[in-house]
Amino acid sequence: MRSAAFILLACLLFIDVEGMVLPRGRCQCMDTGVESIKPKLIEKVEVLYPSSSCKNLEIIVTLKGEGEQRCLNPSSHFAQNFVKKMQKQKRSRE
Amino acid sequence: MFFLQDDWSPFTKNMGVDTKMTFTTGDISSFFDENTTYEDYNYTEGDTCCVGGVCTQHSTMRFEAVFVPALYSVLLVLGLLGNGLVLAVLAQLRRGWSVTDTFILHLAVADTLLLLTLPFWAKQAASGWSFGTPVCKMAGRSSSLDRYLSIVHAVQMYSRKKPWLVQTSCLCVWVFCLLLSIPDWVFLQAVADARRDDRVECVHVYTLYYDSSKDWRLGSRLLYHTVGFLLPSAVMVVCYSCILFRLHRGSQGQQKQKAIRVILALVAAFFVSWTPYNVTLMVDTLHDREAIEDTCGTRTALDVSRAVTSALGYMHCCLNPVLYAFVGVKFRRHLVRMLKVLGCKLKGQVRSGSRRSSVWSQSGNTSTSGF
Repeated sequence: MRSAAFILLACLLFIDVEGMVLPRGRCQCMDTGVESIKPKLIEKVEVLYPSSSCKNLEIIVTLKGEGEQRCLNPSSHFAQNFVKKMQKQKRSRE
Repeated sequence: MFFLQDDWSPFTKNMGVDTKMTFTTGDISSFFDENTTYEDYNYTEGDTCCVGGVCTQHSTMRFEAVFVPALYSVLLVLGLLGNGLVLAVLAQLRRGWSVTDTFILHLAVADTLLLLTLPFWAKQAASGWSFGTPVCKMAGRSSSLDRYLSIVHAVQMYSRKKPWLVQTSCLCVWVFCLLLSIPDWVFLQAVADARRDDRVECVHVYTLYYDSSKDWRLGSRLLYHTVGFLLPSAVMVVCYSCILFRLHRGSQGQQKQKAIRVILALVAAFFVSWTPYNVTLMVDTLHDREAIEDTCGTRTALDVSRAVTSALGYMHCCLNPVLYAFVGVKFRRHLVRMLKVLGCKLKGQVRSGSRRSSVWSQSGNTSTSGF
């Protein structure tokens, strides 16, 4: 009985996988996001790269007006085109 | 790289360099001018009410910035005071250490080490991690030491023989907890995160292993629930139930009443400290598996309750001196003597202290405790 208890204890110790330091934070998008957004409604676009808090790439669009935010699906045709153009433009400006 | 395999993806170009890219109206207006065809992208306000929702962590972070430093300071002061007194008394006793004393020493050292990391976490919650990656790797100790030492105690109280087993198992707890921290040494890093206001935080960075991480994460969670909480709880309940049963068969008396009360307090403290945190984690696991509706409210509630319940777990470190050491008459006598030497007058405590008698000499008399 006693040795069994100690073997059990040893096993317990071996597999304490997640301690108190847990992954902090989460992804910001609730779903894959909208497929497209009318460009004239866009105030700001933020591309968030995968980080310790979220493994996905996320595109967060702030709309003009009340500053409402929407997630844009990064694999949508619109997003791909948009970011490609933006990068080219930024590079040419620099 | 990990999310879009296509080589043409525009997103891969900045990978690993920046944490985010921002385009503002200036960039966008020119894009709009030359791309009138994008008019057919038919987003209008209102028609996508339920798609593309954003859930930021500002409310959680604001809550943590106030709650964590406040509570951790209280825990730090109380915990260091309690455990410091225990260590001071033990240092005075130097020669006559019983098995239980050794156990208490291990527990007090483990608790003190854990408490010493609290200021770092409090600072992180308030304004980010500013101590660099090496300190981050060192501070990332899990609190499992405390928990497993409590179980060693339960098993020792139950089995009542072979003091060397207690010594060995306490040492084993240390060694194993050191081994367990190897993943922390590998993965913990101080990194900035755009999703958390570009704040630098001490976190596990698994980015390179994301492909397989979903299943791995679930597996490790399940193991944590069963092995890190359910089994220890079972061991604790079984051991102390046996002790209580043994006590019940023995003679009646005031001492026995007190012994029973202390054991109940030990078990209660363990469960009050650790159940809420584990329940939160279980709910979080269910949430991850989409068994619970995913709303921004649920996410925030989960994060806030994780902060609160992990503080409860840390609270166990402050309770230990009271639960294990100061219930014993020997400990209180030495403590009072020590404080008297220091010039303190503790009349009340002396009276109540000397009248009561040992708890552990009842329930664990063969441990040759001097209590």
